[in-house]
Amino acid sequence: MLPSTDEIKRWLKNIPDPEIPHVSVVDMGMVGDIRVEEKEICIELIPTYAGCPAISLLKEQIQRTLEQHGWKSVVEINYTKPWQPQNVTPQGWEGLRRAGFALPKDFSGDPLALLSHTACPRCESEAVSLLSPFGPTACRAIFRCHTCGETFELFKPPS
Amino acid sequence: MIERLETLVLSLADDELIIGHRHAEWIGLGPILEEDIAFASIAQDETGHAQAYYQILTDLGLRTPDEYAFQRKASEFRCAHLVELPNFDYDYALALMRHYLYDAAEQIKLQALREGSYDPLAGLADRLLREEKYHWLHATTWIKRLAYSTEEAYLRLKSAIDQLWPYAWMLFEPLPEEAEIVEAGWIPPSSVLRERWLELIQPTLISANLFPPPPASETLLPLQGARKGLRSPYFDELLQEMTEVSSSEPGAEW
Repeated sequence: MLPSTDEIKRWLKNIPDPEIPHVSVVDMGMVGDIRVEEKEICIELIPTYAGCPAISLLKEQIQRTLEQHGWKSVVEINYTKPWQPQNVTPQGWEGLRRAGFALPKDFSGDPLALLSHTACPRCESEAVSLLSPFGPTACRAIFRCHTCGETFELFKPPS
Repeated sequence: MIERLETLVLSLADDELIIGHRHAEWIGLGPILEEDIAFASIAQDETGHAQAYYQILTDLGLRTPDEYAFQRKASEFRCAHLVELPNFDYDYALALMRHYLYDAAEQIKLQALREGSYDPLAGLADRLLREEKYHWLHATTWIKRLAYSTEEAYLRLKSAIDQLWPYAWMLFEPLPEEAEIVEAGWIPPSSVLRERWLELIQPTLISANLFPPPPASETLLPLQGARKGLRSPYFDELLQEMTEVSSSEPGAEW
């Protein structure tokens, strides 16, 4: 019997984002269209940032996972479809929060608005300063909280 | 048709790949830690953008991204000379000004491509613009901040733009067979894009007293032909370094 796309997504939920292991590739909104054909499964993979170095590893892991369920697969990396933060699932946001990230609040497409509406994930203070709009990965910016002294990262989607 | 598409895509992709390589040279050498991280991040983005552009050609049955990046002869590259320039003695003002002039041009080209008739390019441009906003924010913030700070900062920026201006101008050298490329609706003529680019950077540069007059034609002459494969004197060394690992074992799997 052919697996449903929901079932396939359940399988893929065991694959963590290599850079943020609290969140699966599915919850990160990176899995796009899924096509089940007679002999193989086609998965569309949508990188957060085009230069994300985790992509080739994810591709391999997706293929290996599907193989464990007895399926050959083709993973198509789609660079022309933008990754949308709206596709992050509630579990995805919760995982990012548990990983210690401040979550973005502004999705108007203005990077300055996105960076200026940030609260400390530890004490929720809005008295924070941007230290660097760039961080250890493309999807992070670095802040400091003036209330509790915490240095933290904002999960920074393409804007 | 496919040759013309390759001409256009390589002009975009090779600019990205080579500026990415030059930006990455700042890793460990930034004037402050945050700038080290910024240039590293931007370099990673631009290299990824190059890969995504090459993939458009791969999907048409042409070479793979790795082959484009690592297995071409110097004369097969189509980048502008601006991106080939070395970081010389690591003058941050020069790096910043190149980043600013280049990213302004990139914004303009991506906005035009997004409206263009070739869907894969239009779709990619839409995605890349969302990432490029952070680069542009970074470049404009620092140019403004430094231009109005100390006299030394201003003079360094001034010297940087004077040196880079003819090179930046030639980011918009017409492509080979540009009339046909424009006719296909993929992108407007280079002269139109250059006008839009000037409109974008003029207000900031004029108010900072950093806007040069159009470059003299004799300064542009030696820079001609970049989009046809004429490389600057700096390119061979760059290519050798960039391909050193891959050429040690061609086709190796990682």
